[in-house]
Amino acid sequence: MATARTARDPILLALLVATLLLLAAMIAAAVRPGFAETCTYAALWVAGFEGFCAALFALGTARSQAAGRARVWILANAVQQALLLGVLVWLERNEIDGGFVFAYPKATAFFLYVFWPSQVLFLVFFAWPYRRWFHTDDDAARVATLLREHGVSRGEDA
Amino acid sequence: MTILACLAVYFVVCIAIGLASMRRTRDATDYFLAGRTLGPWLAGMATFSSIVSGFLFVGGPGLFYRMGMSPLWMMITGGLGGALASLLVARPLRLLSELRGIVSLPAAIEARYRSRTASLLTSLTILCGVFSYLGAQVLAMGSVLRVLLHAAGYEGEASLTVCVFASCGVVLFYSVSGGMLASVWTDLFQGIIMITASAFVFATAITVWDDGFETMDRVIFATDEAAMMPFGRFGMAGCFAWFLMFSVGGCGQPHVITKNMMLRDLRDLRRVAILNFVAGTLAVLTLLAIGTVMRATVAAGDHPPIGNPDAAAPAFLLAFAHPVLAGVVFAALFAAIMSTADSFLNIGAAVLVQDIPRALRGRTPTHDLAWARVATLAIAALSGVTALLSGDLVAILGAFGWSTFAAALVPLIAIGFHWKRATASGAIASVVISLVLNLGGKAFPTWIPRGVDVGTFALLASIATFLAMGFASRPPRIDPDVEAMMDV
Repeated sequence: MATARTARDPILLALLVATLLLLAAMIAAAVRPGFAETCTYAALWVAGFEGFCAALFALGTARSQAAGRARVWILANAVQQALLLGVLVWLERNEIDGGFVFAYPKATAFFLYVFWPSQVLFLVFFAWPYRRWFHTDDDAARVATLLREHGVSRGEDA
Repeated sequence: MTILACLAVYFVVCIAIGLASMRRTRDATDYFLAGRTLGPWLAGMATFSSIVSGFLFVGGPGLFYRMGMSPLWMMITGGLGGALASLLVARPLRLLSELRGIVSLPAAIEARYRSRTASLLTSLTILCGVFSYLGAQVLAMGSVLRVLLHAAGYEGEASLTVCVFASCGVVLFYSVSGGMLASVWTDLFQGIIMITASAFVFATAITVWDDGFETMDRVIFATDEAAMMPFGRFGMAGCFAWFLMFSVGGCGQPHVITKNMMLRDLRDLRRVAILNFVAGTLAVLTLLAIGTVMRATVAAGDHPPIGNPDAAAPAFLLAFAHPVLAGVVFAALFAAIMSTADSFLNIGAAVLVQDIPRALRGRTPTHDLAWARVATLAIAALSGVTALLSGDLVAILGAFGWSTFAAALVPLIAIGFHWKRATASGAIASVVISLVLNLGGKAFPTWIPRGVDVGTFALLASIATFLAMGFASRPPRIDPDVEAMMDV
């Protein structure tokens, strides 16, 4: 029987707040024409989205030994997203034409500086902390114990 | 003729895999979960192949052609989405599958929430998505085959109906004979074709213009500045909505996450995620390359304008690709469509044979392997007939399948499997709200304010409902083994 208040409730509360923030941004954009093109909207969305993702990652790593490292990854991802989105919104608002960083048109720069950093971050994430989540003796032992206790004979596989 | 020869070889290999898999499919667990024996490479490639569908070579390049940079916001979610799906969905589903011998998503929902109503609603959502997605895939295969036959001089002899049933026949043969085992082995073959074709398409695309993409970008920028701005023609709000929907929505796609239940070893999840990521990155290059080349070529006046953006890929192949490469890419196109179609056939059959009877009567029928094969045939036949009769309706339904699954299933699986306060009533309410918003948005598009993405709004509303009802209710009773699984 679950207890009245679970340990993960604060994470879920943060997720609910972030979700409501994103919903509020969408509703505001729907009722106020032009709001969806403003920096305020972008800031609201980035804050909501980063909170949303951070809560989901925290939920997924709540009992993992790598939770601390995952927090570092979340922070790095959040900073990257916020900086890049800030630059993009600034470019949009100021209508700067081609030839900004290294004389590339914006689309190329966008591809280079948004797409690839995201991909590299992901690889770092999987190569570094995530590896531990399925390889620590503690995690493997917990899974094996769970399966054995419930009569699953293939427990040693997990 | 070269293209048709490539297709014929591809079809023959698929049929051979179906025949080989038939001997190893002995019961329902084999049929629906490939006996829970998949290694990381097979599972990773099966997952990748199931995700991409016809979007890789048709819809995706068309979006780039029409909207410029906007679809990149959909594509760059691969890393984040893969990480979330591995963390939140793959591990609990794989564990629960082994603990309870579960073969489908509705069964996992029933085990977690102790609710046959929640399981039934999940089954109906999946079935609705199966018919719409499958109908769209079947129609796409028939249409492409008809175009190819027409180009080869068989005009008048091949109606759309004949082409639909001919192409559908191949995927149906290996799905019915070999079940999920045939599905994942053909997925491996299909994935290899898709990745190979993607690499060759990208290599061809960068040589079309002397200075590669930099010149192409400048040409497009000169004629349509908005398309090459960071948010493309879809605008900031639309791009943000896509980014959220496609990074989080992957946690709710039944044809994809079911593959996690088939892993032989839980530790292989890490390798599956990396393989998916690498294959997905290559696939993005294909979409970007075809869309950009065709847009720049048309902008420069070197190619007549393309009326239907979805024709960007065929136009690229006919204009710039060697006939053998075109043949491989068309085979890859069929591979992309078939790999998604066979996954839907399998999960649809599981819903019909196991999940709905269990939700209604509390038990599954005996002789379920035979029934599974009959159900697979029935779903294929119904999807084919529906696709032929309803025309545009199927295409519309297929287009919103991703967001329907995401909004209905993400809260129940990605959140509910990690939160003990999540309740069955919250699960039921969030599924109902997601379906009402998604279907309502499609039925009455004029009611939707400009700039609001209905799918993303439905996903957020569904999550908020699920969480609010969990906090407002007393913590539910959870079976001890499921609770132990949530504590691992």
